[in-house]
Amino acid sequence: MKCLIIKDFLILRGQLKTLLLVAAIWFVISFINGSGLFFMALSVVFSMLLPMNTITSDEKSGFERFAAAMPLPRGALALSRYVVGAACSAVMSLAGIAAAVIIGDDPRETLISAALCFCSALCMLGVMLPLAYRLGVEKARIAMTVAFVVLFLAAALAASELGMEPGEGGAALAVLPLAAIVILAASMSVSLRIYAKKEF
Amino acid sequence: MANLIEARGLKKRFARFELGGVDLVLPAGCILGLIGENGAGKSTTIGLLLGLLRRDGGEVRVLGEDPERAEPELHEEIGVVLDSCPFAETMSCRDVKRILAAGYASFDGARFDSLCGRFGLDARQKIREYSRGMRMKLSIAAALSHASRLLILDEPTSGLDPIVRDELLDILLEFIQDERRSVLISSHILSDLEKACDYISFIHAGRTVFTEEKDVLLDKYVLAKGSEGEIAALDPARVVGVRHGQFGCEALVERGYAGKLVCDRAGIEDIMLFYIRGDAK
Repeated sequence: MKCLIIKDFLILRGQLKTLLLVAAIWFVISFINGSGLFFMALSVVFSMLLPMNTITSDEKSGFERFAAAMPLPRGALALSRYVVGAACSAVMSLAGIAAAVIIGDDPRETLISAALCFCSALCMLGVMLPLAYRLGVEKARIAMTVAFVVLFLAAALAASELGMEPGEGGAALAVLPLAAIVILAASMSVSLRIYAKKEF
Repeated sequence: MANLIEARGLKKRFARFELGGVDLVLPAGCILGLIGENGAGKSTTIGLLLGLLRRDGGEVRVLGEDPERAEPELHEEIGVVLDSCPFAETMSCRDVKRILAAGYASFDGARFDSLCGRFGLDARQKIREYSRGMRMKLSIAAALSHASRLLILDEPTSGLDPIVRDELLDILLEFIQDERRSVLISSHILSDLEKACDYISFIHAGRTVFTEEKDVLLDKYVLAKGSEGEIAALDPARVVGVRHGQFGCEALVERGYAGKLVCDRAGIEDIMLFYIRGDAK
């Protein structure tokens, strides 16, 4: 799996300038708005965007067919992108904390928001990857957008039902990590089954 | 002599194509050339040999194992060149080396560097700046840089200039020198196969037409030239196909059965063309 993770990060390194530019623009907007939370939302976006970029690159170059002929278990092909996606989300969440500190957000609220964003990113990753493996990147992008809206509305509804005020993430903090674990476990199981049957 | 590849009656069905029965045997120390027109089933056959596709029928053993059920370690001993360079355009040779070093336990970085140098590949240049030929050279360097007993190459010479193609054929001949290793190579450049291969396997419309020792094959047929009447007088059982031209006819016929007609040597390309396009006898 190590080789696949290295390959994904080398692909992302090739897009580094663009990604940094997006992050910088996002930070400027956050700074003007005085909201570190806005910047943290980028971790959710990147957790979906970056693995998709690596899948697109592999589809273009035909790397998956080559990787399937390497001494790698098929499961590694399915699971490596979970590792890459989670790592990208973690890095972006840490960057979000740094951005919030610079902007001057409340530290406790910042940490809670970062944890929530990270867990949301993992949930989105769990929804997106099996879709991308099964449907291909283009169709998965559409499905992902729908999933993003549904998840956002569900979170807003849950917060409303629980009587939470914006920024008060205590209850979500208890539920989201559990949801992320369940979604990721189910997602990995589906992805492994897709790859076990996949032809290259 | 052990066989590194044994395939019998390989079948695979797709919506618009069916591989209807491919037989291959590749003994150790040999190079087998896989020939056939586009869409004949060469890449499908290679996919089945590598376990990339699931067969619908037939038997296959690669290095003594069924590639569909074998442990991934089987692939440590197989070097693969697919029909396009599998690495992202933003990568360099150096990046490819890092990926391969993490992927193959037996990866030999010094050999990879040496091959890249031999092929004139700049370690820092991005793959997007490479020509098609250079990309293919990188794929070949990757396939030759780990401890493989079997090389499977799908169209490795396409896009390469004659000098590099010749160099590649020398490398393949070097590779099989110890008589324990073998090469399966598919190519449209039949003159290359004629130079390097010990065996030729011809696939047409998803089926193996023949697998023969190259020298036996080249010795088996001649191109007989004559008038319509002279060609028609040949024993139809010994004629593979006939081509009607403006000034006469040409037939691919078994050596010794052309009578007194003028005969030329039949190359692999002639044999393939007559099998595919030769008119009814």
